[in-house]
Amino acid sequence: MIHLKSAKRDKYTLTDLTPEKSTLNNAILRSKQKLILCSAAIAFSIVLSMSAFLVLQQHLGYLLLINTCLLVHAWFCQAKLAPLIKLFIFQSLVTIGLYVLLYGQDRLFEAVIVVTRIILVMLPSWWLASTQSSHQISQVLSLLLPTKWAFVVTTSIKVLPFIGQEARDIYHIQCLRGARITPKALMNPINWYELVKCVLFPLLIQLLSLSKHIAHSANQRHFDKSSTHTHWPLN
Amino acid sequence: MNSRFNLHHSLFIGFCATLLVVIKSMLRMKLGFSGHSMFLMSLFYLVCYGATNKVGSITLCGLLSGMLAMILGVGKGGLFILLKFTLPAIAMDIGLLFIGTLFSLKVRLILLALIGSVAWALKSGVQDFLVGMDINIVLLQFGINCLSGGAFAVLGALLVPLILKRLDAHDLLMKNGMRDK
Repeated sequence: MIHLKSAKRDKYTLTDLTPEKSTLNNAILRSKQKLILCSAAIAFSIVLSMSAFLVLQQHLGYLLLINTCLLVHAWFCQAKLAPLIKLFIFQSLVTIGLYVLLYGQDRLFEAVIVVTRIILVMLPSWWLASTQSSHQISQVLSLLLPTKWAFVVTTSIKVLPFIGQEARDIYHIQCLRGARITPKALMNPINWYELVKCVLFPLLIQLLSLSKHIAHSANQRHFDKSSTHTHWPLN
Repeated sequence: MNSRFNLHHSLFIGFCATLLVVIKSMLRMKLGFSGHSMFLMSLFYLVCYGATNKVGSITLCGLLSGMLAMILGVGKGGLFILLKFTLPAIAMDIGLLFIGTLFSLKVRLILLALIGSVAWALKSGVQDFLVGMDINIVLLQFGINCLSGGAFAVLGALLVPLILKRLDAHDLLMKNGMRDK
């Protein structure tokens, strides 16, 4: 009877685990594919940015074509175009303004080429940031980093909401205390120092004390003592 | 990366880098003018140096800031944001190797901030030169960037001794941390 029961249990375990295992394998495979794709995207964006510096003026058209494709791809991925447009307007105003100021209308074409090159340098980076998720970029970076620093980067990202909450709390408490850091008071640049003194200083103190506690608890759990490390999820 | 830094140091450097990236992204939205980034960079880099008192801490903070900015997609993202954060940090660390313990803390911090701002302006200058901008305009922009970045960086550096004093008062400076004498 006992034997039958155990046989039954084995059968149950096998039939139950097989689909789970296959979905897990599929997820690992997909995660690896995404990782390779992200690494390729990083390498591609670096090469494209560098070529904007090096390529000759007559071949700039090809680069412009590739970058337009990237722009369309990012547009389909619902990327925010606002930072790129802001950069374009700012660069055009400064560079073309300076050229006109120093040389008049003669070298306007040269200024336009310079602005185009600057945009072509920045566009692949913007495309990378807007089409690849932060999780994948951090996974690629963790392949290059030692374990301790990968832990530091991950903890820093994870602690971000806490930092925000802490900053908000300190700000509200200081406002209640009567510090001149309300949005209306901050219109006056004299009060900016008070903002640094009342919010940034206590925040740094909190962060240093937090880092002390996290380091202590990680050391208590034998962090970095073993040569093999476990990772989660799926890598 | 350097193994001389224990986990406590490393985490503090990481948190400073995070705070730098977050505040920078917030200020960019609000103000939108260049030069202010040197204020934050010099402030956080020099706080890291003051709290750990080790050569290399500024470079580490710069590298981590660049990586976090890349991960969080701050600014234009990509490789250039990494260079933007890392180059001034490396220049400040190289400057630190020469300055060492020559001057008082305040003067040393101001000198490091100036070195960082020159490196920051040089990076944009080289970038403009490489895209084929006229040399006169490159030099003009380099001069403007040096002045504006330098002014902001010195302002940031002047706050560091006050922060170190506060950290010391809370007994949070590690035993080799820098105390303002």
